[in-house]
This record gives sequence, structure tokens and C-alpha cells, in this order.
Amino acid sequence: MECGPWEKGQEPDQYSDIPQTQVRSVDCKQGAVRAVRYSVDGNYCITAGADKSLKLWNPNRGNLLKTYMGHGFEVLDCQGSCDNSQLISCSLDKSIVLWDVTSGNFTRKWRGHQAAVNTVKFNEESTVIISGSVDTKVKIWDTKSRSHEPIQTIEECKDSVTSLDVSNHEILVGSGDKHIRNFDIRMGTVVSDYVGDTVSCAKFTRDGQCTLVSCIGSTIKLFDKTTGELLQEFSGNINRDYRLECSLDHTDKYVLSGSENSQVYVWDLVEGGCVAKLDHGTVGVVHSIEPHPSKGQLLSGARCAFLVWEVAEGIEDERAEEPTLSSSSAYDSKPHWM
Amino acid sequence: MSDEDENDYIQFGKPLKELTEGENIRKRPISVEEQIVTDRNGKRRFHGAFTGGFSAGFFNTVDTPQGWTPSQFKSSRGGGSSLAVEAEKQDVGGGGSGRSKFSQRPEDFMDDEDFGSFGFAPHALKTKARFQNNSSQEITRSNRPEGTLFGAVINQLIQPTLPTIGESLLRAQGWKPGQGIGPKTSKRSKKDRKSSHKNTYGEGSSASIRGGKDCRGYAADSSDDSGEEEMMKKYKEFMFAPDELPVYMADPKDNFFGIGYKGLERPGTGSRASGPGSGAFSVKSAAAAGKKKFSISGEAFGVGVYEEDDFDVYNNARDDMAQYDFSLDVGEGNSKKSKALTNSNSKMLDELTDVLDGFTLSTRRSMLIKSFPPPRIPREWRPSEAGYVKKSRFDDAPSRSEAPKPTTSNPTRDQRRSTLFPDDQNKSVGHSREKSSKPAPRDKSADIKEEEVKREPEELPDFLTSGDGQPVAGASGGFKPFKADPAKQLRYEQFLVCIKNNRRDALRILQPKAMTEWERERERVEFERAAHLYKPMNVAIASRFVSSGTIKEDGSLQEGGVKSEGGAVAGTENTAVISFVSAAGSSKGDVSADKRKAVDMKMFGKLTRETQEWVPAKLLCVRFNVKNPFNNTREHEDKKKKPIFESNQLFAFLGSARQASDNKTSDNNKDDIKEEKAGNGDDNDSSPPRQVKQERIDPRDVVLVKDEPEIQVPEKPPMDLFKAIFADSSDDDGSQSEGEQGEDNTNNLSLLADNTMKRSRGDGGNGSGGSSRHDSPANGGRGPNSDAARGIFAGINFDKFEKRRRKTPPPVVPLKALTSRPKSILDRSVRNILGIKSGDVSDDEYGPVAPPTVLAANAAAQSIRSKTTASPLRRKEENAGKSIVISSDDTGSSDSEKEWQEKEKGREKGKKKKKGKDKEKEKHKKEKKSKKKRKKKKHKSSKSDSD
Repeated sequence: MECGPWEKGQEPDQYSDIPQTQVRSVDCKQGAVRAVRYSVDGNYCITAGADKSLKLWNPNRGNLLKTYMGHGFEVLDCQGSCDNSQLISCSLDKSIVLWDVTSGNFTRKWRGHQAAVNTVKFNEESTVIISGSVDTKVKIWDTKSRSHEPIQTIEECKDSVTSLDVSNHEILVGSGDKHIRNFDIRMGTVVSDYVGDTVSCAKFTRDGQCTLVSCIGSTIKLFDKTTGELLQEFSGNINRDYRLECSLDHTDKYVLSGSENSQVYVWDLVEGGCVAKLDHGTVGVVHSIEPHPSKGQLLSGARCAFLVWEVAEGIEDERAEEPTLSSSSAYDSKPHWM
Repeated sequence: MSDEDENDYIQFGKPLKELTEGENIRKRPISVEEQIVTDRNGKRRFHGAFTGGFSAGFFNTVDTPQGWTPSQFKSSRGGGSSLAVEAEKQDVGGGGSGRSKFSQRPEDFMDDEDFGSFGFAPHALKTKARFQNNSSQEITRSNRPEGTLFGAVINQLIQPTLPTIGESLLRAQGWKPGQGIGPKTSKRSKKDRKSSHKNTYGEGSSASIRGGKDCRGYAADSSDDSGEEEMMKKYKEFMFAPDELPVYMADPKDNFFGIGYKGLERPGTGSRASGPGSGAFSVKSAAAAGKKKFSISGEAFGVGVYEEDDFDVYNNARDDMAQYDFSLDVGEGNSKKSKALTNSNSKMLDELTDVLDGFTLSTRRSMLIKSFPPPRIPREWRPSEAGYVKKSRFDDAPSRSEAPKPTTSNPTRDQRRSTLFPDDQNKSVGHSREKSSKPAPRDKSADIKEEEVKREPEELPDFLTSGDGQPVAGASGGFKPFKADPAKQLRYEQFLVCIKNNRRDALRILQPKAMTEWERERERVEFERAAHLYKPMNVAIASRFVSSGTIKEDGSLQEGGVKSEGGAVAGTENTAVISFVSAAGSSKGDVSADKRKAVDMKMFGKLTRETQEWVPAKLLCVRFNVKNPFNNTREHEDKKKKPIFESNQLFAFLGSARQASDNKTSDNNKDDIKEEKAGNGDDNDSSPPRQVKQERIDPRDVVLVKDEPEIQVPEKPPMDLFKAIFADSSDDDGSQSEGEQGEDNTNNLSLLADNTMKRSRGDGGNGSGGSSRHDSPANGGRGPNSDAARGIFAGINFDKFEKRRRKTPPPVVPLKALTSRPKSILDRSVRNILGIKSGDVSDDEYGPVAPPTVLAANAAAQSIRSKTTASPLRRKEENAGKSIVISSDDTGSSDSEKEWQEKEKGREKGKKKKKGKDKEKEKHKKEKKSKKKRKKKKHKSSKSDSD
């Protein structure tokens, strides 16, 4: 019954569930927006700004909820914890800061990296923070202890760590040395794949079977995680100089990526063809994109603003009418291990 | 907020203003009580019931620190009234002992700021606007020539406060003071008008009216034609208000001379000399007034109207006369001469350029500095080394690298790198890649100009060739201490080769014959010192540093840096282009060719994949809720903590490199080193059995007499250096272990190797329970806190565990672990305790264990020996307070020893108390005490020996 309208709807417009309507553009007033991230439930979003601040927004209304100040330099990446009570951010000042969402104060600050920290991620239970830095190290920090030392330092990378992703037992590290490394905690192995170009973003798919890797000066590739084989390639976007993010949407149906020509490219995961381009006007590089964890919404960060994209009117209404659909699809879209 | 949103939501009010950064939202509004007005000093400004009070006195009370005292009568008889006021003013602050009968004014209680312009009692005298002088009006008025003396007086006396009606009418029409009257004209017509005016009235006339300044201005106008033309062209379309033309006013005639005639005048004498009408002359005389004592102006005789003008002797002579020096001043000679040179032309220039009084313009033009054009580079010339063009790191297209940059005197990044790490050259970087096929014979001296190095021999003598027969130009390892003198640098490099070939004396042959003996000797000393200082950096260290950019095969430099999108946000925000990739190891070099090929063919999978073992930290597994894949048997490498070097990676690496090289060599003859050392120990240090528990085996102990390892490891700086740097930590360690030393009130002596301790601690207290699970000796130092034994471990006799352990065959040691730690230090040291000669026993063999008493005695004897063998450095280290472990259950000690330990304990306690005191003092004391201790130990040991 749920699938009925979908299949009918797919005939006339197959790709109508792509969030291609720009709903909102929010000027963050914090310099360049380095990263935009949804909270775990997708009700809020966090932007990391070049003016050392971190801002919490309501993307549905576009209003600012809180500003987190305390970094010594540009904030490069951020993430919310699984219970929405904490934020983690990393900065050009080499530090990683754990914030308390409500009070706005930072609860922990780690200074273990010797260079700017490019990326930071919580693990699923937000007990551990994983950070990747220009100093080629990935450090794992314990949120529960008061220690200033990391639990572990991974020194496998030969070049700056540009991207991180975490599943429930794996850490995927993309590095400037043209490798992606999958650190499997359960197996005690590290699988390193040479991908031929500097990795700008590496992500697990939501089913945890594949890895999506975007490389600078190259196409976006979908690899089979277990064998390392190339499954699909997505080309068309421009990625020469910047660390652009790529991602999969909440249904694992589309691959999304920013581009240096002020577009967000959307590819069909299976077909590999570009199905949509979200035009950002004249902003230049769209470097941060974040699909909603459970519905057809997309955040893209470009310049000093983040943009909210949603599925076109009709589909939106359909979904509103059938809340069960969206909720079920949300469950479907969850990784297999959950 | 978009429209759509407003439809979706019902909103009340308007959203709060966005807070500025760092501002916290206040929960409640500021109450009236909290709104305190403070003055500049932070004092409360208004207080009292109606907030009408003002701040003064002591803490805003109209009072003094001593409290309020009623004013007392003070006779003003003694001092004047002003004095009394002074006294009273002082009393306000200082506790009023005597008050005058003067009533206090409110000002006495006011602060300075109250009198300021924003205070409530501003003290400033201001003219009311009505009486303020209109400055422009003033100027026009002052410029107006007074016809007669009477006129001047009248003008000064009667000054209208308001502008005249004419003026105000003009103003109403848009006129402004300083402008002329009439329609706006172009620049050109303005100029024409000006010149016509000049023609009509002559310069003199305007001068007589407006004074010298304007006259000068007109002159400038006329002379500066070229500049004017440009201006006119430039501002063709601009319209200007006409200049204010001076009103011509004839000088009042007050003498009976003919028109235009002025009689002879002397400034001092003539009553009218200072009169306003005296014109140019007055200016001249005023200018010269400071200097000249005598000047005459005017004409003695006039010339009739109808007569031709004679040569104006007097007027021309006037200047000369004025210049004439009437006194015999020696110093003035030069200036006089130069002044004599000035002709009328220069005088005019003089006026134009406002030359300082006493200076004249030079008649000669100063010599221009000759400029020599740079030499022309022949067209076909190409720099020897292709320049490195910066380009995007990820841009593979070699197009931009085609334009080679000529090499400058500044070394490029690559050159710098290659000079730093010469050994590294062929690996990854730059030009050497292309040239790597042929052995680079002239890499270093390439930039030394050939002709300057005259003595470069065509065929190098045998002492100048290294083993493989190549001339070693870069033997200095890239450090060029004598770069300023290339010949010397070359000599130095050759000298280095000579040293390598053990031919120090060959330097003499290299040195030019022109050098004196003294110079030669000096140079030799210099070279030796330089050779000592500038050692080539270890290859291994060099590999630790990687340049931020990599050189591609085509010789172009890849600049490390993936930019982050700063966005072209206006202003400062987009300034930072973040380099995400900096430590770009030559990643291309690392990846094998077939991998690259596979990627090119898109054959991802097995070809591009590498799987390795990775040991996650125990805690990480816990946090991820994952079972430890290695079942707690192994710990990740993070735990190898080096207490001293922890903070400094470079030093840490030095240490590990050392260890690695030691491992290679130490296995064979480690024990006879000890023995060898034991032979030539110094006698004065024969101490009682030393209870030494090393925190960490120093590689130096293991390897002392060794061949040079393959990799030249630079001398590790002496321990003093580290102590100087990390003084705090070492001090702490010292005091800590001293404390522990005091704690153990035991009397057995057992020399323990650190590994035992570390392992027992690392296994989470397994050792204390007695059921020790020993993995391997190499695994020992991996405990999370591989420090000295403390607390419950301090009193354990680890010998027992040792025994048990020795019966079990040593487990298989992981290769990684083996390389990271020196092997079987434990065994060796235990053997040392037992006094077993290394020649007899191999690592795996072991003899029967001696009974404890014998063991103790043996240990005593051995430790004496080992102590004497220890290098002074090490001894110092030990004295600095490595923890000493004394196990409690030994019965072999004598009473005197117990006594000694009691004393020691007391001493340590005393020390503990002083912990917080001055460090230097402490050190000093420590040294003294350790000396004393040694002495005592000597005593005791001799006693026990006799026992």
C-alpha cells in the first residue's frame, strides 16, 4: 500500500524525490561556512564558521539558536552527538572541542594534534571522538575520561587526513596520500586502498557495504567495501582545488556532491548518470553538503551561507499526508547494523 | 523568513535580534537597582534617595577614611587666606585636624571629571557664539590697507560684531569668503582675468595691497605655466569661482616727493619704515633683519618723468649693499661667496621655492648617480636547474612547468631540502630524479661559480675521492659554513673527505700557497670545528621531515594544499585558504607502479588493496562495544611511553633509533662489555651493594664499545642537556623516588631489571598476586605506566618471579616488539647480579639459583663492580634518584645495614619536607648528600665485607 503511490509516481518523474527546490538560504554571518551538519535527528543543524564560531540553527525556520565561541581559529568541522546534548568541533587551531549544547560552554578541549584538525567525528554512541588532522594522524579521544591523551593514535597515513567516517566498528580514513584506509576494530585489520588521487571525502554508504570516495581532480567512486572493487563512477562535477564533500542521500538512492561551479550534482547510485544539478547561483564552490538523515532535505554550505533544499511541492505534500511512509523509509535507510 | 514559512507557522511578535558574539542572553531584565551609573573611576555616580548626590570623598561618602569630623575653627591670623584654603584642601584628604572657618565649597568634594565638559559642573570659559570672531572676516579686514594712521586706529577700535549687510547679502547668494564676486568661470578664463589684472595694476600694486605672500603667488602662477596647462586640461569642465581680486587702494600720499619716488631710508630711522605701505622693501628688510646691521633703501635722487631711466645704481646696489658684510667675520666667508654668486635669476627661484634663510639654491646641478643596467642574459641561456613552477597540487597537466624560472640566489625549496638531507635526494625530490641515472657529481658545487674556484683540480688526488671513486663535493652534508667564500667552502668540503680518508694533513696541500702558516693553521682549526658542529643529519631523521610540496616527475613543484572554500565573502572572512594537505609525503614514490597502473586501468580491488594488522586500543574496543580482536594479548603501540622524551618527537626518535641500532649489535657481545667495563673502573667509588632499579634501560649501557653502525647516529646529547631542558620533570622524578626510597623499610638487596617491574605493573597487578603471567621480556615495557615500581609493588621480591620465569622457555617474541626494545636486558642484568660470566651462559641457559644469602652477597659484589663500571653520566643519573627497590623478606642483611637504612629513611623524610623549596638549593644539597651517602656506603660496605 505504501509503495503504491511511489511506483505510480516514479513513472512520470522518476527523480522527483530529489530535494531540488531551494527553500531557504541562511546567511550565517560567521564568515565562510566551513561545514554544515545536521543534528542526529535532522531537526537542527550546526555550521562551522571561519570566524571561530559554531552556530546552531533551526534549518526549517532559518533562525539562529545558539552561538558557540571559544575556538582560537577557524572551525573546520563539527558534529552533534547522538543524544543532541553535545557538539564536537575541530579547528585550525589544532584543538578539538566538546561543547555542551544547552550551556554553550565547552566541556572538554583536546590539544593533541600538531596541525590543523581537518575533520572530527563521533562514534555512534558518542563515547569516542575521532579526529583527523593535517599532521597525518588520526586520534581517538575518550569523551568519558578526563584524560588529555588520546586513546589511540593512528599513524598509518602518510599525508594529511582529509576525511573520516565512522560506522559501529569501522573507521574510514581518507588521506592526502591517495589512500583510503578502513580500520576495522572488530577484525583488528586495516585495509588500505589506493585510489589514485588525493581523497577529499570518503564515506560509508548507509548499508555499510560500500564506500563512496571523492578524489581531487577525479571522479567520485563507489567501492565495494569487502573487495575494494570499483562499482560505479560518478563524473561531471568539478573538483580541482577544494575539499568538497560527497554524500549519499537518506535512501542510498542518490549520490550527491558539491562542485566548484556553484552546483550540487546528484547522481543515480545505480545508473551512475547525473540526474539533477542544484544551482547555487554565483556562489562559486559548494563544498559542504549534508543530506537529511531521514527525509528528502539537503543542506549545502557555500560561502557564508547554508542553503536548505527540499523535495518539490507535490512530493512534499504526499509525504505530509503519509507520515508512515517517511518514517518507515527512515528506518529503511538506517544502516544495516542498527 | 520566506513567505511560505509564514503560512506554515503562526508567529507572534518578531524574532529576537541576533545576538552579537560572546553575548549571553540575560534571563531577566536589568532592574533599576542594577543600572548603576559609574564615573570614569568606576565609582558610583549617583546615589541617595533621588540619585541626585554626587560622588566625592571616601567611597562616595562625603567623608574621609577617618570618619566624618565636624569642621573646627581655625584662625586665619597666621596665614593668608590663600594659604588657609590650601591647608583646608589638604585636610579633606588627610583627616581634618584643623579646619578653617572658610565655608566648604561643593567643588572641594568634586572629582576632576565633574569639572570636565561632561561633568555637572563644567569649568570652562567660552566665548558666546555671538562674540566669536569670524576668522575669514578677520582676514579680509586685516588685509585691508589702512589709509592713514587714523584709519588703522579706527579699524582696530571699532570692530563690528556682525557681518556687514553687503557681506550677508553676498552670502545669501552663495558667496563664500575668500572667493571673488562674479559668475563661475573655467580655469582658463580665470587665469586670463588674473593676468589682465596684473597687467593693469602691476605686480607691485598687488604686492602693496595684499602683502608679499600674494605677490609671490602671482609670480608662481606666471612661471609655472606648464603645470598650469596640465591642470587646465584636466579640469576643463570644472567651473571655479573667480578669485578674489584685491581692491586697489592707493597709498596715501603723505610727503612732497614726486609720484613713485621714495627717498633713502634706513629701517631704524625712518618713522614710516614699518608702515604698511613700504611694500617689497619692508619684506626684504624684515627678512634680512636678523642678519644685517645696516641697510639702506630707496632712491637718493629721482629721475624726471621725461628723462630716460638711467641704470639704477642705487636700486641694484641696494641688494649688494644689503649683502655687504660690514664686520670682519671669519665664518661668514663662504656664505658670502655663495651669495655673491646668486644672480637675479636664482633670486627669483629663491623666492619661488622658499629656500631657508641663509641658504641659496645651488647653481650647479648635483651629479646624478650613475645607474648601470643589469647585464643582458643571452637569449639561448637556460638556467642549469629547471625552475620549479608552483602549481596546483592536483593539476597533472605539465603545461605550466614549461616556463622555467631562472634560478635566483635564494635556494629553492628543493635546493634547501637537498642541502638539508643530501642522502634523501635520490628518493623523491626534484631534479635528482631526472639525473638519478647518472651519479650526480656536481650537485652541490653547481652554484659555486667555476671561475672563482681556481684551484679546482682536474684530477682529484686519491684522498679526495670517497670509497666508490666519486669526487665528494657534498661531503659537508649540505651545511655550508663558508658559503661566503666558495673557495674556502670547497676546501672545507675536500677537507671533510680527507677526514673520512684519515688524511687530515692533506689540507695543507689543498690550501693555496699564498696563505701564511698562521692562516693555514687557523683555517684548519676552523674546519675541524665546523666539521664537528655540522654533522650531516641522520638519514632516518631526515625521513621524518617531509616537505610540504612534492616534486612531480616532470620537475614541477606540487604545492601542498587543498584549498577550502573560503568563498569570496567580502572582507576578511575569505582570507584563509586552508591547506588541508601539508605534510605531503612523496606519496607517489610510496605507491608502487603497478598500483598506479591498476588505478589508471580502473582495476580497483586486489591490486590496489593492502591489508595489514592493526591493533586497536583496548579502550577503543570497549568504547565501540566490540570484542578486542587480539584478546587483550597485545596492546597498541601508543602505550610505549617515554617519560622524558614524550613531549619531543625528535628526541624520542633519537632514542628509538639508537635502540634499534643497538639491538643489531648488542646481542653478541653485550656481556663482555660489562665485564670489560668492570675492569677499568675507578676505585674511589667502591660502594655498598647498590640497589638499582633502572627506570628504563639506557641504550648507552648496552652499547659502549661498538663499531660504527651503518647509519651514523649523531651523538646523543649528554643527560645534562635533557635535564636542563626538562628540569622540572626530572626533579619531580627524583623527589618522588626518593620518597619511595624512604618508604621501603626493607633490608634485602635485590637488583632488579626494569622489565620485571614494568611487566608486573603492565599486567595490572598480576605480579602482586604472585601468579605472574609473563609474555615475553620484550613485551615488558608496554605497561601503561611503565614507571618505577611504587606502592604495593615496591616491597615485592621480584627475584622469586624471576626464578619461576626462568624455568619457562621464553615465548615467541613478535618481530615488531623485538625491534623496538633491546633484547634480554633483563637476563643480562640478572646475570650481572648473580655474577655469572657471560661467556659461560647463553641467554637460554640458567644455572641453579643460589640461596638468598649467597644471592645477596653476590649481588653486593656485583653491584660494586657494576657501579664502578658505570659511566659517570649514568652514575649521575642514578644519583638523581631512580627508585631503589629493597625487598623485605631477605634475612641476609646485617644490623648495621638496617641502621643505615633507618638513617636513610630519616634523611629522606627530611628531604621530603623541603620539597617545595628552591630547586637549586635542593640540587646542591642533593649532591652533597649523595656524596655523604657514598661515603657512608663505603663504610658500611667495608664493614659488611668484613662481616
